[in-house]
Amino acid sequence: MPHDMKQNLADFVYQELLDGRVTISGSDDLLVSGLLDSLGVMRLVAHIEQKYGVKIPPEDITIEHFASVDAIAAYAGNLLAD
Amino acid sequence: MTIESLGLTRSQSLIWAGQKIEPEAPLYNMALRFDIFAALDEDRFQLAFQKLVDDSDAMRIFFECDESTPRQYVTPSLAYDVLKIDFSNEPDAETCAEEWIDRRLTHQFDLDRCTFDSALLRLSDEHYVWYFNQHHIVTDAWSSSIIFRRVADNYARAAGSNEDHCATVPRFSEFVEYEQTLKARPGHADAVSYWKKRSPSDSAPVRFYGMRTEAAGARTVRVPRRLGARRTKRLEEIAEQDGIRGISRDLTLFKLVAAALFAYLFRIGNGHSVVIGSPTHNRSSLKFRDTIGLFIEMFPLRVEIDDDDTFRELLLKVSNEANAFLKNALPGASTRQGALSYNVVLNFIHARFGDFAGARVVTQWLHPGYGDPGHHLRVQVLDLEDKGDLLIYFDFNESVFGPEVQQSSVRHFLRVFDAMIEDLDSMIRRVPLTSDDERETLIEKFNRTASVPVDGEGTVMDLFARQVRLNPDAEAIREGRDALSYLELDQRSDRLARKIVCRGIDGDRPLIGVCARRSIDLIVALLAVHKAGAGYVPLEPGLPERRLDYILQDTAIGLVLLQADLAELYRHRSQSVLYIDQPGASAEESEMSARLPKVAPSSTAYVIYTSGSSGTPKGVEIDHLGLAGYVRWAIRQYVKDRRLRFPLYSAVGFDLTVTSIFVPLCSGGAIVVYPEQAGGIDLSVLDVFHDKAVDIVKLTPAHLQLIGNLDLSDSPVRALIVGGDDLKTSLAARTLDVFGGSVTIYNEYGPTEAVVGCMIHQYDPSKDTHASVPIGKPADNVRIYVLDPDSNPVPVGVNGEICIARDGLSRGYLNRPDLTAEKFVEDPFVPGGRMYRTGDQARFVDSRTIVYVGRSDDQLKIGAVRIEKAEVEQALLSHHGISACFVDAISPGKKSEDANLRYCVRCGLASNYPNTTFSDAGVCNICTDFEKYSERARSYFSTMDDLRTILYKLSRRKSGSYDCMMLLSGGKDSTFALYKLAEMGLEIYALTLDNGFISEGAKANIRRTVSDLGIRHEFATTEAMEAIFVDSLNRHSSVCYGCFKTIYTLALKIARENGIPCIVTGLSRGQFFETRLTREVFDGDVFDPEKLDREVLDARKVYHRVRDAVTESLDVEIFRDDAIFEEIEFVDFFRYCDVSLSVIYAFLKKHAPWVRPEDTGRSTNCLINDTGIFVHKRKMGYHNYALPYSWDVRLGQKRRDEALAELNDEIDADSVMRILKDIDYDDADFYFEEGSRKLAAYYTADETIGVADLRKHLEKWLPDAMIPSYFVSVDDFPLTSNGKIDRSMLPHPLEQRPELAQPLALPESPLQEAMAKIWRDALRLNTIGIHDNFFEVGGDSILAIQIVAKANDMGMRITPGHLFSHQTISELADLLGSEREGPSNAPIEPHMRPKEDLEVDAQPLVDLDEKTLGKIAALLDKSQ
Repeated sequence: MPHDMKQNLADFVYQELLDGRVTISGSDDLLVSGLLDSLGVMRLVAHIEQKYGVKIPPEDITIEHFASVDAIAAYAGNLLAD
Repeated sequence: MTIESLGLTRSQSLIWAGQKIEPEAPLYNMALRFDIFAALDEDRFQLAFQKLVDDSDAMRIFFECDESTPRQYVTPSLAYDVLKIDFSNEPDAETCAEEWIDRRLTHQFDLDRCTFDSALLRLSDEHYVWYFNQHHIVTDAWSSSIIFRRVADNYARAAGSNEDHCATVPRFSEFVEYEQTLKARPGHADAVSYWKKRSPSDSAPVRFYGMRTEAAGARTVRVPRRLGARRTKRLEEIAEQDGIRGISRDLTLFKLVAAALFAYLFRIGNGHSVVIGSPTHNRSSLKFRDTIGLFIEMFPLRVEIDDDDTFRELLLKVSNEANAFLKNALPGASTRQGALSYNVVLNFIHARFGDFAGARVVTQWLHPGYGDPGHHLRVQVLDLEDKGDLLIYFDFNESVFGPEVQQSSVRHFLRVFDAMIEDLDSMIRRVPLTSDDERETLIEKFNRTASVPVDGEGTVMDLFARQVRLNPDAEAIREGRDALSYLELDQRSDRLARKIVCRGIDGDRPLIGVCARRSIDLIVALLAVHKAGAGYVPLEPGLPERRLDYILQDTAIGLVLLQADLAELYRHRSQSVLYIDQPGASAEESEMSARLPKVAPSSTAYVIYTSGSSGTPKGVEIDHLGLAGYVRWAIRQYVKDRRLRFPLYSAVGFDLTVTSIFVPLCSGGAIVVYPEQAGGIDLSVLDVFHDKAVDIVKLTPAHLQLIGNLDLSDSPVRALIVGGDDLKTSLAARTLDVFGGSVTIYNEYGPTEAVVGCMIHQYDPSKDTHASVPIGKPADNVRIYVLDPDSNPVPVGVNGEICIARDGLSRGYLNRPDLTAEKFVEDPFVPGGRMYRTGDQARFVDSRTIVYVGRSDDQLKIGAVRIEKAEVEQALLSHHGISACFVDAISPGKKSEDANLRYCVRCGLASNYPNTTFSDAGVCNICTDFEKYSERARSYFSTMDDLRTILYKLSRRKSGSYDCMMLLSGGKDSTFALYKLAEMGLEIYALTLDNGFISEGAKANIRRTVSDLGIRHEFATTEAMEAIFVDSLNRHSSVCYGCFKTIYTLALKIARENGIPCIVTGLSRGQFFETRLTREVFDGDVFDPEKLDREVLDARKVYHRVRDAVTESLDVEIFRDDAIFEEIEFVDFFRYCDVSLSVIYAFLKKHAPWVRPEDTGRSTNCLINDTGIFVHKRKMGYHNYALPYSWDVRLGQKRRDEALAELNDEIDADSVMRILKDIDYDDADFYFEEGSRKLAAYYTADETIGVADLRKHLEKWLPDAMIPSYFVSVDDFPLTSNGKIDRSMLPHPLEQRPELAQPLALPESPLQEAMAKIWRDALRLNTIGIHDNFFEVGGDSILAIQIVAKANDMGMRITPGHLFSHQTISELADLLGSEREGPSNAPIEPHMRPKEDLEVDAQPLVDLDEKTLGKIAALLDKSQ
């Protein structure tokens, strides 16, 4: 499950937010690099909520949780496990 | 190459529509000025720019309208010559460039050709200005930065070569298509529904500084303000703090600035719920971040701010809101409702503009001077050159913000902003907004009143003594035939005072009770108390027993001055009693020699009790300094050096009455006494105006309502001093009208604690246009402050609490040191001074005038009486059967939300329609009844053959060229009828009333159809239409009534002039059932259509003779006699034609050039229709189309859901207000106010307690004014999540019948029905029984007057006295019935006569038989 999720998130970022222009690895920084901005992150949040039927509380939307695909997957995995 | 054609994105559509509304205004010009400091190669620049155009599809877009839908097209190539102008030879190149740009800036783009304007200005060899202006419809700030970078890069790279170094710009059309495809994706619907929920239709835009914001123009003013490096740095530091830092710096900065803006709007606006709009950049992917075009889309951000919120708490709310905002900000998801929910926009521009091919650039975003009229303030935050110094552009709508307010707004925003960055944990409402200058104006200058020395003259008794010396023989007081001169009054009061002194007066501030009816005795007693050196405590004979107990105990009064015949009241009490006057009793010698003390200004003059929030009344102690100060000012203000007669007609325990007593006695005038009237309700104020014996009257707004229907143009009263409650402008205007314009109305404000009155405003109808008449400026020796909770002055326009400092301010509340300390505090502006915090909310409308706004606490004012709910609740709880209760003020006019209504399952009739009941299956009584008589009703209808016969027969009587006249509204029904008549080969004269509000679409229909048929048509008009609408609204709460009567009147007249023998109407079958074929008609065994026809004709005759604006303004000579009704007959087309809606539509589609108008509501041609509906709903509590539409549904002319949807359509209050103002409808404001509020008591009880029982119980504790009008028994109290009683969930008192002793008995006779209708309308009840007691169903004096006036209008001769003595419909009807049989009718009391006599010329209504009377009552009510 976490692996699938990670793949799914990476695909979403790659396809939807980066238009398949920039290849990223799971640990690549997304925020400081400017690859994603706040709108992109919120799109991702909406995507996770929809796809996995979870609710991401606003206070969880932090740089730490959304720094990279790995970080996001870890965070979302925890959320699902709860 | 082909031209690509695309639809518009959501944002583009909004801009397109916005531009269409203001076609002349450059609302959407996005212009930038780049000052490039380098020697540019102009040709190379041209190439660089042309390459941009070639590379980017957005630059080659143009727009065209395909039918009414705009589309955008991308042309494959566009050659563009950058305009080049050389100013370098001008002496002042910069000025020339600026002037050129200023002119150019407002350039209007022809969107069907090119969306931009580009020019290169040469200011010197090394200084160029690139001016670039583009219509917002294809660009945004981000896009501009791409354009700049592209051109700069092209310029740098080109170096003369045509080689394509730079990849083509991604295509904007991809985004347009992407937005389309998104709509099909799963998340989109969720997002749209999120935005719908987020923008409820009731959300109010910010009302800046109390200013009106409707109908703003498009002109805007930009006020730039740099935050400066320090503030910007501080902001950025905060943005990095833990708990604040978000996923991106830009977002965090946005949230911080948004929080400051929200806080500012909260402070200067009008509510806790604040909405702003903000754009999202919508460039969610890398590709879109490189695309030129319009991406941004505006969405609302809505935050609920609590009074005690700190900035940090607000920031958290903003942060959550902003996250949700971004999550749901999908392209294309914005809604129209959302766009209407805000009038403030925050635009945080993150775009950066760098250098130009290595050259230094200064970038400016230019302001075209126009903006979207819906955006009253735009706050644009930018740092285009990344300097670490945020620049804020405040774009103010000019019609909302004047120049002064623009400046102060910026100042106030920065104060809030600074407070936030200073300390995030500070409370928002604690930020002092005003500057030193503002304080100087509002605290010092405003309070610079004429200071009258307080020396020498001492107390009111000294002022009185002076008048005794000056005019010993002048009349001081009159009561009927008895009168006393000044000398006599002085002597009598002296005598009584000596008796008091002989009895002995002790204590520091002695108090003496006075129990007397309004009389000379009363005044003698009050003066005697003062002369004896004591303060008086009014103990009116009617005081509820328990209240009297409390006051006697609280004041520890030992002595009561009593009128001899009231002795019984004190027989069993411990107080000693002194009779005010015992005729024949001579004074004893010791009494005569007693010396009267010299009274110090600091001694108590009186103690008046007002309602207390702790559940018991509180005594306000006023000393002589305060009383004399008020009286001297009042004399200077109202009397000057005249001798005026004041009426004494109000309760002496009400401090309003102080004016009517001491002002005349201290200025040589006279008091005219009006004793209490027998019975429950005292309407002495009517006698005051009827009598013509006084010059000036002190009264309350509630009193003004009572006299609102009189004609007092010949009254000797020349001035009214209105106090005690908020004076609405509409009421002041109506009052002025009552006096034929010749009366001065003073609005005097002042709580009991600050001595009667301490602010004054003279009503000026030309200037006072706010909902309330201002309370103006301070009285002499009074200082008025409007303060925030921290005692900081609030700016002009912002609500704050009125705080009063004055000489002689009340010492406080008797025996209530805690409460006194809370309300009477240190004056923050005068060292050592005291100040009273009133709890009244007010604001400055300008720096010289204050307007009252409302209360900040639970205190209510009903009929000018202060009411603390706690006191009423405590009295209720003392009833053994009541376990819990809650008291609230409600507006009877505002019925429950439509959501709480029930609708008939068949016809959709709503439960708030009068007398509606439902079967268990949910079927209304009208549907049920209709089942019983629908068969019999068939005989009323006939066939088209009959119609033909009738019309042919009538046409033989014609004396001109036309066989008949058709009343053509232009709607589907009458158009259909017209075609059918034409098919019969009749020569038709078609007539339409152009009431000034007929939609253009409908007029076009009419013109097309009559020309298609080739028949004669006229638009009839009258200049009196507006007056007729106003009159119709006043009388019938509907515009249609007046319109119909106008049509019929004009039609009859034109028909006669043209020798036309008959008039054909397009009344629908529903309308027949609604107005004629009512249940009662079928009560008998036989239904006789001819009899009904005769009755309708009779009613028609009366109808045209009821005097109103139509008969006043139009030529009604033809109705002199009945001949016209015999000469011209009315024929109702649909009585003969049975046709379904779909057949009509199909027919019109096939045969007529008729199209459904799109510029009106759903099924009307008339633009004023909504206004009538709105007023009717507000006034009567239900929709005036409820019944007509139910008939349409019942008869299959409309679907139930269609009817319901139309009936529940939201009506735009603003446009209604505009129309009402346009037609000069005086009462316009009335419908936008809360209306006269009344007290409602909700309670839970273990047993059933009748209203009569409850009222009786409360009468022991509370004065009449504090007894609730409504009593509602509930099973339990609905609570909010905070555990408070949820008022919105409580039933509206008018929804359910109260617990009355008697079961519901419906009216039986037409007279009872007519009376019941009047009661229902006035009391706003759906149902009323004929044995229901007037007071138990919410009646009061004002309603009594309304009921009497309406009954008089209908020829029923009753007086308020009759209503008080006959408190049920049944008793009143019996009274009327018996009087009508008797030889003499009771005359209408002169003072009750309505302003315009509504008598019928030919036949007085009262002579008609009851059946006809009932019929007319029905007819008058039907307005469709």
